[in-house]
Formats: sequence, C-alpha cells, structure tokens
Amino acid sequence: MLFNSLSFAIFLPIVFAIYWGLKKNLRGQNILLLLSSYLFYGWWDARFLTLIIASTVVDFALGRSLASARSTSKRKWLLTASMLFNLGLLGVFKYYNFFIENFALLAQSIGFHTSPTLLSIALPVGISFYTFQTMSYTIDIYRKQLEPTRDFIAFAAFVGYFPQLVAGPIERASNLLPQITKPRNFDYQKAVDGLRQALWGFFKKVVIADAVAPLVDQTFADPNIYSSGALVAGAFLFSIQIYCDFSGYSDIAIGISKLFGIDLMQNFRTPYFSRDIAEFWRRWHISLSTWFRDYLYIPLGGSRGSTALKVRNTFAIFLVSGFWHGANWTFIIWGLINALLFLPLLLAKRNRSNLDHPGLKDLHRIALTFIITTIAWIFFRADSFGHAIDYFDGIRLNTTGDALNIKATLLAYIALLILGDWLGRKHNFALNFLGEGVFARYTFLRFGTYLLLAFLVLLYLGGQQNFIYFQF
Amino acid sequence: MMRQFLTRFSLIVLLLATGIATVLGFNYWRTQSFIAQHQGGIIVLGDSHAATNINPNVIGASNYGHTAEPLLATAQKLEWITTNLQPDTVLLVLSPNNFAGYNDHKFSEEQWAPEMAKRYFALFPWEFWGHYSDAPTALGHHFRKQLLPNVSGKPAFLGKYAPKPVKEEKGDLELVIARHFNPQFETVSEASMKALKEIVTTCKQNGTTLLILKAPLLPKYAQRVPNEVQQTFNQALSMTQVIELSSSLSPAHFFNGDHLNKDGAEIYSSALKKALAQK
Repeated sequence: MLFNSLSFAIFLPIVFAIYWGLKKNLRGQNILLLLSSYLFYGWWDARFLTLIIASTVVDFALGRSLASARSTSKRKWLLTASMLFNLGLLGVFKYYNFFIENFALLAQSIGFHTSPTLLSIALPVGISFYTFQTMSYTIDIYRKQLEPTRDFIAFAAFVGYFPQLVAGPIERASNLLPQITKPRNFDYQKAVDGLRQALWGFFKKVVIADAVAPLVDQTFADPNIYSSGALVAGAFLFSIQIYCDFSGYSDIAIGISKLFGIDLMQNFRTPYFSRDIAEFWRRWHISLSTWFRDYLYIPLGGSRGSTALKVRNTFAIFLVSGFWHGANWTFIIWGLINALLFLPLLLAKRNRSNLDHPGLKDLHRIALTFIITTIAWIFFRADSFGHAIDYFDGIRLNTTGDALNIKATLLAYIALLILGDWLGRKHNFALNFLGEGVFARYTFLRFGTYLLLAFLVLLYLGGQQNFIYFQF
Repeated sequence: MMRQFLTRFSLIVLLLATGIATVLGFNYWRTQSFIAQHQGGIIVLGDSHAATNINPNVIGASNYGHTAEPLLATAQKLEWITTNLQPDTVLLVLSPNNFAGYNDHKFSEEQWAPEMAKRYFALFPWEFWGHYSDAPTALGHHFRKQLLPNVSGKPAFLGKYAPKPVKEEKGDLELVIARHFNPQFETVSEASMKALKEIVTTCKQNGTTLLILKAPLLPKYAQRVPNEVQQTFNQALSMTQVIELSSSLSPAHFFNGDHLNKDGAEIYSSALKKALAQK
C-alpha cells in the first residue's frame, strides 16, 4: 500500500479510529497495529509476509535465548545465528544474483567458463530496512544495552510497524519498543505536528518528486540526445527528486506515527544546506548512518587509532553503505566517492565542524557541497558505470542537443521547497515553524499554508510513482 | 483533546472542500457561457492531424482537434457538440493511423491513459473506464483536472489549433511508424471503425453536414502504412464526402511524415477555404 494512494486514504482513518477507540486496551492497540501493518505490507505481495514473520519469530526467540545464555561462547553463537539469518535473507533476495554474476565474470576472465544459475525472484519491499531493525535488536541484547521483551505481539508490532516498515526510518528497539510496550495517550500537539510533517512529506513527494521524475528519466534514458545544459539540469533535478522522494516518505512515516502517539527518529535534517560532506552525512538518512556508525564503524575502531585504521574504517562504512542500497557496482562507486570526499575532512579533524545551523553567510559552501553531492548522485542514478560515464561525457561534450522542458510552475514549487526547508532548518521538520512567530499568532496564515499545500497535493496526486527507496 | 483535534481537522477539510466546490461552480458557469457563445458554424475535429493542419481563423471555424485523440473519443465528443453547440458542419480530419490497433490501448496504456481520463472521463459511462483501466483512478485524473479555474469555459475534451514549428529536422520516421503501427497491438482497430459509423449516424440524426478531410502525408510515411490499415482507411473514406487537398503542398511544408508545419497549415487552410466555398 502506498501512502499516496486511495487505499491508504481509506485505511488510515479506519485504523486511527479503532486504535484510539481501544485507548484503555494496550494489547488490543498492539494487535491492531500488528494486523494493520501486515495488511499494509501484504497489499503488495502477501507471500513476502512470511519473511517478516520468520524474521520476527527468529529474532524474538534468539533475543530471549541471548538474555538467558550465560557463557560468552553461547552468546556469540546466538548472535552469529541472528546475523546469519538476517544477512542470509538479504543475501538470497538481494545480493545472490550480483555475487553469482560477478563470480562468473571473474572466472571467465581467468579462463573458466561457467553458466551461473540466476534467481528470478522479486526483491521483497523494505527487506533492507526491517532486517537491519531486527539485527539491531539482537546486537543490543548481546551488548547488554537492551532487555529482551517477553511480549511477542509488541515485538512483532515493532518489527512490522507500518509507517516505517518499507522505507524507514530504521528504528532502534531501544527507541521504538518501549513506546509500543507502554500505554499511549492521545496528544493533541503531537497529532498536529504529525499532520504538519506528513503534509510537508506529501508535498515533497507528490508535488515535486513525482513531477521531476519524468524529466530525470528522460535525461538518464539517453544522455546522447540532450545538450550539456539539459544533462546538468537533469542531474540537479535528480538530487532534488531523491531528496523529496526519500525525505518525503520519512516525513509522512514520522508524521503518521505521531498520530498513533509514537515518535520515530529524525531521518533528515535539511541535508542540502550542509556546508561539507561530513555535515551532509550527519543530515542525510540519519537512521542508516547512525546504524552503521554504532554497529560497524565504532566496533571497527571508529576514528581512533592509526591513520591507516581511520582510512580503512571510513572506506568500510561508506562502501558497505553504498552496497546496502543495491546490488550494483554503481552504488559501491557512489559509496567510494563519498568516502574519498569525507576522508580529508576526517584526517584534518574537520569532520565535526559545522555543528551549528547554517546561515546565509554559508551560501557558497552550501552550493559547493550541493554540486559535489550531485556529481556523486549521477553514479547512484546510473544503471551502470558505463552509463554514468556516458552521462558525464554528455555534460562535457554535447554542445548541441535537446533542451529539457522544465515548467515554470515546477521551479516555483522547488523555490517553495527551499523556502520551507530554510525556514524550518532549526526544527525537526520544515513545517514546525508554523507553530511559532506570526504563524502561531495568526490562524489564517497557518490555515492558509495548510490549505495551499493540501490543494497542491490534491492537484498532483495520482501519478502514484513508487518511492525510490522501496527498491532497497 | 481528541475532539479539538477532530474539530480543527474537519474545519480544514471543510475549507478545502468549500474552495474546491467554488472552483467547480465557477467552471460550470464558464462552460455554460462558452456553450452560449459558440453556437453553430463549422467545427474541425480529429486528432493531431486536425489540431496542427488547420488554422481555424483562415476558414472561419472552431478547431477542437486534440493530439492522440482516438475516434472512440471523437464519437462521444461529437454527441456533446451536436447537443450543446449544434454546428452546421463538422470537418473530420482522418489519417490511416486513426484505424491502427494502437488506438484501442490509449485508454489503458501508461503513457496516454491518464491524459485520456483527464480529457474524456465525463463523456463515457463509468463501466467504460472500468473496462479499460481502473475507474476510480480515471475519475481521480479527471477530478484533478477540474480543480483549477477554467476561465475560458472550454471543456478539457475540446482541443485547439496547435501549429508545429518550421524546422529542418523532419523527426525520426522509424519512431513515428513504430508508435502508430505498433506490432505488439492488433493491426486494425475495430472500435475506431465502429466509432466512425457512430459519427456518421450522429451527424445524420442532427442534420449536421459531415465532411471527411484526408490528412496529407509524405510518400515516405504513406508507403509504410500496413496494407490492412490502409484498406480499412479506404473503406472509411467511402462512408461520406471526402476532401483531399494534398496537391497544394511540398515536402517543405511538412513538420514530419504526417503533420504539416505552420507554413504548410496556412497554405492547406487557404486551399480548404476554397474547397469549402465550392461545396
């Protein structure tokens, strides 16, 4: 079920009404959350529910065993079992074909001819998100940072929680699980904040990302026929598309979750206002960056130790992060580029600068970081390394060629996006600024903004483009 | 708390609904004005061949041709036109590709279905959309089209004269042929032939003169029309009076294999004016 679909518009009010109708019955609320989450997910392909259920059962059982195990070797064995199971799911459904194909190519290059058997199975939506969520649960128990839950329904609702199930934020059990196991009361301010955040998310997804998508698809489909100006515009538009698509999803997810009285972690903090790449990575897909930081980078030694270790750890985190996005060399190259851009800042100990909010005086650094990020995104968007090189060649060489027809209304919406994000850069989400200053004083200004955004969403709804991050 | 939340949320929804209802009311009023101001006369109908080839100001007509319009939609559109605008003459511009199987898929395939729903939803019954695509989605496309104020009042299913620029590049003939006569679909559209018969009947019943205008084609395009489609096209031309004016044009007057450019449209429209005067 897509957030931007009629089915979800019917689904959400029904679940909301029943949920708060059960407010004195925590178990009933959790059962409802679980069933509605499975319905939400099964809407795509009910067969893949078996994977979520399997992941839930296995990690619940392993979590309980980990807590009761006394010997270190048994605890290690149980943690390994959890890792093998979750990474095994990812390996089979996401990476199997990639490894087999590349192994066959490698064998061919040294003179062995193989005929690899490839799997023709669809990638289950959101598999990279919920497997990481369940892995964090068992790792935290192993580290004795979390007590395992005895409530299977609550745990299953944590794994399958529908607002963030398919594209994050990747929640930690330490944040989400206690909220699911404790009674929840309806909080007016939280619900209003939730609606505001979801509205801004819908605006980003429906009005901007879906409108930009065909233009980006055109330029990337055949870079040879477009002028270099059109290709540059196409690359910048992809930067906007992926931000609006992904952060839009996160805003909708976090906003909807607030309607149920549950806070999810912030996933984006106006990343395109970053002043360098290190800051960008503190502001982009925060739930994934912090996951890799806590479960990979720090265990490897983080930024401590020798320069060689720092270099190794930086490359490890960025390459794995790239590979997490998909089984394609383009994602690995994208990770590599980001590692190369991040490393000088780390070695110069400037990776923790820019902790304050960006201001107008930082515009040139913001622009430069945006350009660098856009260059890296070309690899992310391209189908192959060769395709990305063709795109760069087109930018360099295509003095003539077709122009890109960008409507003035689209530019106006992008300007509105930049304005909204800029005004809201000091808050958890853009429209949070509506609760203060003149917007708090004058209801008509606040309601006018809601109505304008809701009208635009209604006007452009219907393209029903899938969210980019569903494929990961 | 919950009551306050629901009250405020309902207020916003109500304000939004009131705004939308106001726009819909305004559009209805403008459409009635449009109908009152556009009675009688000559009306040009058809797909892009009508929209690009005929300058309505030259012949003193209204051009309501629409890019990619299947004859199935033209037939429904004509019903509305004869009922509301009561024209004296309808000029229907036809080209062989109007009878190609691709037309039957425009209501369901990804590229055109949303556009067809936006334009023609109100002209067809609900079951029609259910047959071709997802009817609620089609309604959604149509509804959103109505959300913006329509100052001219002209309904979305009525197109307009949209001349093509004069350029040296003649477009990729192979791409055009592949699109018009896509081998993955049926060769001939039975529905288009049936729609043409309906068009003839509607005109007869309303006392409207129907003239078919054969769209000029470059030989390199005409030679690529599949035999079956050409035969159906010839059969269609035998159903009513036909005007053919290709002789006044040279290849320089074409935008591509089957559309005139702006200069060609001016020459063609002048020739059409003379032909109509002789009728």
